[in-house]
Order: sequence, then C-alpha cells, then structure tokens
Amino acid sequence: MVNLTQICLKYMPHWMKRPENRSVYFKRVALLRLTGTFGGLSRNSFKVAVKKWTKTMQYKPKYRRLRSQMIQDLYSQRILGAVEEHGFKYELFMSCLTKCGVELNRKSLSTLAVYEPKTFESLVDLAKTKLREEADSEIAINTKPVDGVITRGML
Amino acid sequence: MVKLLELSKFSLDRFIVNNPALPVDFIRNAYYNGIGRHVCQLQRITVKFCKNSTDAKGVRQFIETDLVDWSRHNPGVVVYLKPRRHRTPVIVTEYLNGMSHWMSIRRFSSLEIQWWLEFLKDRSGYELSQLMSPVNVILPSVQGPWHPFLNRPTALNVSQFPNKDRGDYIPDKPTASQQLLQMAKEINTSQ
Repeated sequence: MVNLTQICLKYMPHWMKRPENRSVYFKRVALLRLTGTFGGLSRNSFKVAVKKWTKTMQYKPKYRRLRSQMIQDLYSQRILGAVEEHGFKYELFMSCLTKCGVELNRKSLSTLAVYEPKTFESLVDLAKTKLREEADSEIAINTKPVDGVITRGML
Repeated sequence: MVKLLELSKFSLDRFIVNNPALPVDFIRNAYYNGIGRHVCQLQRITVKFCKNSTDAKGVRQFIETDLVDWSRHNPGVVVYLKPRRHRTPVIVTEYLNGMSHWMSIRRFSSLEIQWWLEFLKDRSGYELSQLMSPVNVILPSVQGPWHPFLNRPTALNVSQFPNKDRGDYIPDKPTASQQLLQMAKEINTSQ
C-alpha cells in the first residue's frame, strides 16, 4: 500500500505547491499586538492572550449596542437633574418642548444644561408657560407663572 | 470613553478623535477655488458596466437617457465608458489633485446614479476625514459652565442650617386644607 498523495506532493512543481509555514511566530505576534494594552501575561503570553482576546471579541459587539443606550441614559439623567433644579418635571419638560416646536435632542439639551445654564433655564420657563397654557391637568393649572415668556394668547 | 466622545467637539487635541484609525484633518479647499471662477474639481469619470447582466440595468438606462445631458451640463468632466463582461458596474472618479474614488453601482437605479454623480461632482479631491476645528476652545460658551451654587439663592451663604424654608416639601397641587380655604374664600367673596 503506497501513499501516493505524499509522493505526488513531493514531486509537485513549486508554483503549484502551497508555501509551507513552519513558524507560528508571525501569527502570534499579530495577536499580541492586539492585546498590547492588556495587563500581565495577557500582554506577553500567547496562550493567555488568546483566551482574553476571544472574550474581548465577544464583549465588543454587545457593548457597542449598550454604549449608545448608556450615553442616551446619561444625557437623560443630566437633563433630569437640570430640570428638577428649576422646579419642573422631566417628562413634562420634554413633552412641552416638542409641543412648542423646539426639536432639540437629548444630546444638545444636556450640553446646554452643562455649558449654557441660562439658556436651559429659559427653555424650562418656555415649557412651564406652555404647560400653563394647555391647562389639561391639575399640575398644569397650578404651575406658577414665570416672567420673560410672551405667547400669542397673552397678546 | 463617554468623556472622550464629549470632548472631541471642543478640543483641538489631535488625539481626541472619534476613531483614531480613520483620517483626521482640518477643512481644506482646492487652492484659490471660488476666488475667481469656480472650477469643478472632478476631472474624469470612468464607468465600467456589463452589457448583459441585470446588475448593470440601471447603468445602461442612465447611459441611454441621462448621461449625455449630464456631460453637456458639466463640460469640464471627461466621461469614459468601458463595457466589460461579467464584472460589477463601477464608477471611478478622478479629481484634479490626483485622488481617485472607486464606487460600485451594482443594482443602482438610474436616478440613484444621478444622485451619486451630483455628490461626486460637488466634492473637492480631498479624502473624507473627520474635521478638526482650527479654533481651540476649552469652554464653549460665555455663560460659564454649571456649578452647584449657580441656581441657589445667595442668602444661603448667611443662613443657619437646618433651614425650615428650604427643607419644606413643595407640593405640585394645593393640599386638601388649602383647597378648603380657597373654597371658603370664594363663598365669602360671592356672599
């Protein structure tokens, strides 16, 4: 019984042969480059780094989706804090702003709240007057009037 | 990570970018373009398409109907047509500064190709990159950033704590006793 494949491969022309790779160095170095910022043996040892990297590659797509949610939550939290300072409510604020036609998203509202607090206060005042004008609920009727906002109903 | 994303808009530091692997550059224009006559930066278009396949149906329709009008409208652009069998339809645009852009138009309708040609014509030859602002600003507004004492009355600086006025609950709606008092007042005034 002769093993013909081995013999044929041995006498194959060089342009038909696959290049033989006997060195794993380059593959390992390529992975260790990716784990360069990790700590300890995960940075230096291939066996440990492979395990860490497989886990990282599982986390990455999951956290990409989580990141956008977390950032949106952060913006909402910032707006909530700023609105509560002026004695108003977050849900009422957002709904009244959209009714006024002010289509600012959470990102811009939170940047305003942090870097331009006076502007944000005027937006809260606008929402409060809109709520008073709507007068749907008890809260709407009982909100205190604010200066500095003129509406069509007043004129 | 969130902090980096927020700061990238306000900081000149080149290393704070949304993705450091992608190109980052200041906004640039072709030299002196717009000072005199506007020069269309698009030099030539090479349209490769297959005469038979269904992927290139939109391209063929575009060539039959709208291409000649478009090229008459843009006389500065050279149009090359290359029919190539069994290949995806492709547009290669080359610009006056030497940059070229390869784009597949597989299964694009004639209208979509027109839209994309408009976009490619309006471009300058520089590659798409995240734009840095040449103006550095640490605090982006004159109002000053928020701090915890901004919206607090200054009388708190000279008041004793615990402070009853500050500590009271502020209800949204009038309480039951307040409502009764209101009703009594109304009755008295009406009488």
